[in-house]
Amino acid sequence: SLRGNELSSGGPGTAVRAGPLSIEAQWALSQHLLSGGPGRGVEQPSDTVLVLRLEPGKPPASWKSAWHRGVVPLRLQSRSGASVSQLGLCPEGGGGRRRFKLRSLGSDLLLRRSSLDTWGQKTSLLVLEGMGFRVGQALGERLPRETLAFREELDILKFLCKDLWVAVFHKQMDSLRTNHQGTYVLQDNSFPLLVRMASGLQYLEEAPKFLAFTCGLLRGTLSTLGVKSLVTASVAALPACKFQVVIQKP
Amino acid sequence: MNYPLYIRSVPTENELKFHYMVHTSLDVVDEKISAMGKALVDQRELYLGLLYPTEDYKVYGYVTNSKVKFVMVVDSSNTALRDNEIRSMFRKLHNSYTDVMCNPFYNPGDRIQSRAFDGMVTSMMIQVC
Repeated sequence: SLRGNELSSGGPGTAVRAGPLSIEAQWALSQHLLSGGPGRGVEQPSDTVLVLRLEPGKPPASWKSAWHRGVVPLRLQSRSGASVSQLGLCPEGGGGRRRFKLRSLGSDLLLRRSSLDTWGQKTSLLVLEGMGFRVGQALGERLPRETLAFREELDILKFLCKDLWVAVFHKQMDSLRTNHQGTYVLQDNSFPLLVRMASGLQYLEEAPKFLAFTCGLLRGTLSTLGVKSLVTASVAALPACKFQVVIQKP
Repeated sequence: MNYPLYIRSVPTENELKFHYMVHTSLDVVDEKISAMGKALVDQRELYLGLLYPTEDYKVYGYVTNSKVKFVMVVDSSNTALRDNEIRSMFRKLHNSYTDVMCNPFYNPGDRIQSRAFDGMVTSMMIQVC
């Protein structure tokens, strides 16, 4: 039976199905498995939710839905009691079925580790965006032509899609859409910073790092041209990406 | 929010008088910009031309796409200065200001303390006076 943080082993050599584990438990297990033998892998699709996949092939559909709910089932090859107890999993009971109870293994430290990584990544992205912002401010001064070209907001956005993009990336933005209420979506179907990386879903998690500077660039250029905005980027499949610009009313 | 990023005058006596003239001319600049905005002209110039003449001085204006305003006060007795010379002076000022903006150590909104900018203004003033 499986409750909370318990794992149940059917004895050596058999696969074990475990119930939902806390983040700390997942992290602890992932670290253990990383230091273990070949054939074990850890995937980290997003910030703090881990999916541990130890057998080749895709996880069954039910796992995916569990993952989205924040609950992650694991499948483990059974291990000797000794190595499992290193994690703070203490065997209890005897006989053919052995149960392991997960002890809190300095879970504070483990949780801090995972949140530190997230904090570090968030800070780095902010720094990149800030650098893009300053460069965008300068470009907003350098690029516009010799006439007062911007009658309205839409002209400024068109300038971003044509002149700014051509100056920085040697191509125009592929599409500009707006809801006419201050939100614009700029789409680039082959964004130059992503085009050499992959095509499709590979490296999807890594993509935001390469978009942060560009978001800042857009925000900085808009700022010089008198528009306060919030710019975010999203990637559905490389190398296409979308930049969302939301105008902030003063 | 209108405050000067850079202000310089020669000769340096009666500096306040020039500061005051520049400040009052900002209203005229704003008027011109809004008038331009409503006009259906294709080309809206950055050079605003003569803002207003007084008996002693002529005041010229220029505005950039980033709403940075340049104001020049020239002695009326200087009749040799022609419109296209004023335009080219403004263009030089605009280019130098753009260079200042591109300096990563310059924080937008700070007073301009660039030696290159100072040098360009000095040489312009020497030419005219």
